[in-house]
Amino acid sequence: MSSQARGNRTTSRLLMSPAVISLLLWMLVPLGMTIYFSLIYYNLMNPFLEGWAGLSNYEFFISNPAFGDAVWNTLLLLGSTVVITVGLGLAIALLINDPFPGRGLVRILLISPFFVMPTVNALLWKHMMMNPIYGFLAQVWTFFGAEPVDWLTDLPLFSVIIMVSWQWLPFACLIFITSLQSMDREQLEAARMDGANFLQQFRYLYVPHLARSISVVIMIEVIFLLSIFAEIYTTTAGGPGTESTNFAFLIFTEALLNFDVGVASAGALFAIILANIVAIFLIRMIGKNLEN
Amino acid sequence: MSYLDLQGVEKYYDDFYAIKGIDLAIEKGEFIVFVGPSGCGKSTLLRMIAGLEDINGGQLMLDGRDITHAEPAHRDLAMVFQSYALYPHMTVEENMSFALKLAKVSPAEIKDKVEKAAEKLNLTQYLKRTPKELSGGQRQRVAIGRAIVRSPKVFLFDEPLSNLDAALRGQTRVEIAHLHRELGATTIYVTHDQVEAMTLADRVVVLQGGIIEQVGTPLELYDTPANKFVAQFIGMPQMNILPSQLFRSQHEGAVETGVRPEHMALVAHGEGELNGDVEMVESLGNETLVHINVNGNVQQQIIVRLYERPNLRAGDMVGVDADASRLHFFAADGSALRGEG
Ligand SMILES: Nc1ncnc2c1ncn2[C@@H]1O[C@H](COP(=O)(O)OP(=O)(O)OP(=O)(O)O)[C@@H](O)[C@H]1O
Ligand SMILES: [Mg+2]
Repeated sequence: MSSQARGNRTTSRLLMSPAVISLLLWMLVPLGMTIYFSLIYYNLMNPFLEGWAGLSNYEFFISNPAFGDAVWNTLLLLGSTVVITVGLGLAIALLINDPFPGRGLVRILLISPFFVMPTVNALLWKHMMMNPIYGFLAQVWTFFGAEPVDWLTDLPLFSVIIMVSWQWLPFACLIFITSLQSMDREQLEAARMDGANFLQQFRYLYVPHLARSISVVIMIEVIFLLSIFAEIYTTTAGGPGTESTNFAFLIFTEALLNFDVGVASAGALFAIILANIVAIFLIRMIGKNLEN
Repeated sequence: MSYLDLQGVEKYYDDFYAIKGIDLAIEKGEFIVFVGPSGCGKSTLLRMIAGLEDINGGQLMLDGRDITHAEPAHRDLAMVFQSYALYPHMTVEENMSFALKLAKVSPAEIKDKVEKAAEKLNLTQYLKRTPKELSGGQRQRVAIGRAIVRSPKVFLFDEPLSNLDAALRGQTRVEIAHLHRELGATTIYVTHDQVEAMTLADRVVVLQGGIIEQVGTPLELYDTPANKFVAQFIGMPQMNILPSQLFRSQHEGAVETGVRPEHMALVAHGEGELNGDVEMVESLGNETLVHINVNGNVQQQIIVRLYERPNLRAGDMVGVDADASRLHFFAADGSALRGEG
């Protein structure tokens, strides 16, 4: 390699370094502080308790009976929401793909839940839909002579899944509708002539065509749904017990209800690990689709 | 009764009357070409036969069976689309075997049929590739292969060559003709290219505005067009059509007389049946096209085709004689008048 090329490389690295260094600091400083806090005793309610804690914060966080529940709830919330939004999203997108009168309006209505703030969404569901006395669902149940369900008490995690799915369904729909518009009509006609029924067309033409958008939807949803918080905070507050506590909410409980910054930091580091495990699976599963 | 029978077949798009009652009888093994100007309904008619568009009136019979309202897959037809419509996520082999697989044909038989078709079409080495790894001509052949493996009763082609460049188009045209001879399959082929129509067809169907103008062999259409539209549509450059009184030979009831560019000869100015000035000379090497304004009238421009190279330039005055035995006479409604008049 000529010395000029080497010189060029040094210059370009030098010129890039401000951006890289500031990004690195942006990431490393909070991470470093979190690691540091996780290793000391640091409880806002007990200023006299201080000093090096070693791994005892981690031990405390793991041995918390809520820990296992939180991991399970996080994955369950994530998994069900992704399955529901992708499944229903595909169905709806296919349903409204063919022209019909009022399609524009239907599309706008379908997309609108995405613009509702998460807290508002949760409150709407909590009070208007799921309230066991005056909620809409209770009215429906009563109309059919059934005992109204007390959603947030009896099925807390399921209720949260419904709310979050309602919020994210439009996103999935939107991506799929857009993608369907680039579906080749002649290919579908060729498949019809080849004798493919709708299910076979779905399996052999639509799914391969939509594979990339499905990957994108899953990817983005996973990123946002790992840390669902507002919906839980405003509705069930993680309860009853820990039935609807996910990881983000557990860390919040430690930090701002128990005021234990040390344990909360240890929890945050576990969350990073969990996110990475999910990310590895995710990239294995769908990374291929994004490449080609 | 013929093999494929269209009886008063009609199509409406809402209140637009696209196909206005088509009667056509196609014999087994025939190569039929639909031609006509853009928007005349060629594709629509083909898609109605394929079952991709509903038939709103009339009847469609194939081999004695009424298929007017049958599902596309149950008609025993295969279609080659203009865009080829290959399945992009499948290999060539999977593309070609898709229909058979859905029809639950045994894997051994599928393999056999696909290999035979691939061999016929020179595709054997590409079987494991996906469509995007193929050239346009190869994709075209895969699309044809996909139709062949099903051994359909009728092949339908919708402008299959329009995405190819001129050289490949000529070559593929020869291949399609060869394939048709080899398979002997009944074929309906849509095109707006008259060279394709003239070279491939056993019979050509000229369509305009949703009706049939004429059906006949390529040479019948060329020699005895049924009306002014067909006369001008078939043949490049177009037949020259002028008011009848300009010609020496007359025909009872004729208002316009037509003569093809190659049936005229140049003579000295003032001595010809028609006289005028040269507007333009197109020298194509093997032939020369001379554009002439008859009596200096730009509205009455004719083209004379010569197979020698005349020493002419724009502005020269010339006379033209028409071959009296090759004149076409048209009545006021455009229909051709024949026989001694
Ligand atoms: N889906 C449709 N809705 C309404 N009108 C249509 C539809 N499809 C075709 N038409 C009309 O029917 C007529 C025939 O169309 P068609 O596609 O058969 O023409 P074509 O002869 O194949 O022309 P081209 O050579 O340009 O392909 C056209 O006037 C077209 O505007
Ligand atoms: Mg067409």
